Amino acid sequence: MKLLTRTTIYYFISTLLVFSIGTVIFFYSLRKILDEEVNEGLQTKKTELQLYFSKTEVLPEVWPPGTGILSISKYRGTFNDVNRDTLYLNTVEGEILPYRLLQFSTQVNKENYSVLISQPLIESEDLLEAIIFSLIILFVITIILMILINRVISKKIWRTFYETLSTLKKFDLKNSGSLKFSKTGIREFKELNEALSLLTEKISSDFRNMKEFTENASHELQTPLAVISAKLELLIQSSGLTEEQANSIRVCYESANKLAKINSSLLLVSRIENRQFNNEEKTDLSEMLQLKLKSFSELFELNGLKVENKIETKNIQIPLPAALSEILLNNLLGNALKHTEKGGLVFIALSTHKLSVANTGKPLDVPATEIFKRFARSSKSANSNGLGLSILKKICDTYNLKPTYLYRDGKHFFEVEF
Amino acid sequence: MKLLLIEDEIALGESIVTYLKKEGYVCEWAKNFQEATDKIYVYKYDCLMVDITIPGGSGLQIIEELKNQSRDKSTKRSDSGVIIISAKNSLDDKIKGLDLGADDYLTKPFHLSELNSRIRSLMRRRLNKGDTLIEFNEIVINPANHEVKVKSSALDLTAKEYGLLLYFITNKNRVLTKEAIAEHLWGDEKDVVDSFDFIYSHIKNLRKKMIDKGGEDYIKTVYGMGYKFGE
Repeated sequence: MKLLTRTTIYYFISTLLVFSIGTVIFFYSLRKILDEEVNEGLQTKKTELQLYFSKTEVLPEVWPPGTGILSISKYRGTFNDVNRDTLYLNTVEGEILPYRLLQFSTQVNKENYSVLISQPLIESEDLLEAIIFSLIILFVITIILMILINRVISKKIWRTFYETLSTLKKFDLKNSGSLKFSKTGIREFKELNEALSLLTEKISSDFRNMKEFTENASHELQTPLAVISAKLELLIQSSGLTEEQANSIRVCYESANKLAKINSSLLLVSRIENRQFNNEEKTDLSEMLQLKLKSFSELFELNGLKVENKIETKNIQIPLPAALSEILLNNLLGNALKHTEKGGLVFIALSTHKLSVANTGKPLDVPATEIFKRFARSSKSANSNGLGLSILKKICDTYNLKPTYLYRDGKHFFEVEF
Repeated sequence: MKLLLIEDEIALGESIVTYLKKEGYVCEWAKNFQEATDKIYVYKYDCLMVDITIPGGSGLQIIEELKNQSRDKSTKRSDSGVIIISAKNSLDDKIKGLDLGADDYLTKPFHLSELNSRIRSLMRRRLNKGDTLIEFNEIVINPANHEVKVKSSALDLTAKEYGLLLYFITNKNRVLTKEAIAEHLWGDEKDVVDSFDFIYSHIKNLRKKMIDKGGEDYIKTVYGMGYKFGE
């Protein structure tokens, strides 16, 4: 939900609450005032009538209209004023309307009379209606104004925030350094921008340092590794080695080679991450795949594997530098070569948007989600360093290709969509 | 044949020089930029092995200097072969080096037998334009058309078997480790074939084909280490 929508909803609810309470208070206080007004009106009439009676000392035959006198009758003794409400049919309006009555005693010619006078009341319903009606209009106007003001505010004040947000969305760890945000006069946003600038700068520099470390470490390792394997190779050439010595040398030599391989794989990963390849380059995957299949056919044959391939279309260009396409194919085909048992089948299919390499085999003993992770490998495969598929994944991630793995009908499927 | 190694890492330099001297080369060694430039001004080498990152300058500058010298007709120097040996497996450096006139590029760490094989093949290409026959007893190889004869009858070899035989003869009487053979035969694809059964199969086939033609079995297994080609 948008910030604006949410604040508008809160405003709406609170305004509604205030206006409802306002309506109740308004209704009761207005009714009280009007009630007092009616009572006062009746009292004034009473005073006027008493004054009139004391002057004329005669009861008139006919009461002029407007005095509100309903009846005058003789009464023994005097009494206090009596107030009560009643309903009468108003002949003019043809409606039953509420009236307030006042009965008071008065003396005319030394005789006691009881006088009943009336005053029409305003209907509560009418009053409530009027109040609610006017308050609803007020309410609607307030809400409309509020929405308009909010919109203006969000456009003007929140603009910086939305700019910050869109700058942040464009942040790419691999490409940009710290982010540059637009200037603003609002303190909170200024602080936010400063904090974000610092944060992204820190993240970027940490990321750079980490990458540089991997790259430097791998580079620095190359030379001592070269020394070790060269010295060992000389040692291997020397005559008169005992079997024990030869064994030790062999183990050292193999380990040094393994180390060199891991190191060069890590270097490759960091070079892919740093996009140190000709990124504009495209590769004709079908052509390269044909070549690769030719050079792999011998290996497949030696391993006793049957290969079926279906290369649908010629000239399939993928946005990946040739060097990396080669590594991708090497890793996919090599993976099938390594992990298919003798007599197994390897299926290779290439269509305009998908490359699929499948091989028969037992289900994995690592979860399928782990398969593209570094050093994730089945415990038995000693001759794999567990980096091949992670390099494949790294290439795909960097160049927006989609690698998938699934196991179906006794086959491992590795697919790359492009 | 006279070689110059330009390499600042002492231990590595020693190993390379020792290995190549045993191969019968005259091998000199420059440990920094100044030494290297001095040497190439004074002497003529058949082949240079150049490390790119050396103290005092870049190996690429030395290659440039060397190529300028050979272009200059007055010095009457014939062209030397150049193999770059670098810790950086960077495509840019590779392209730059090859553009400057280097003939080959080896990334550290490398097998000494591989370096030897590259030098031999480079020398063959440069000196004889590749048309001299390589002979070892009854085996005759014609590198120009990849033809192999055993006792005058042609041997039908696959590309990998041919490469294997040539590698063996180039490094005869040396122990060749399975790793070095794998790297030589498969190059960048070596990671794929790090199960060495392949090499065993290739060697078995090569051996069988040569014996079938009446050749001797020169390939010996050195237990736990690799193979050795020789009498």
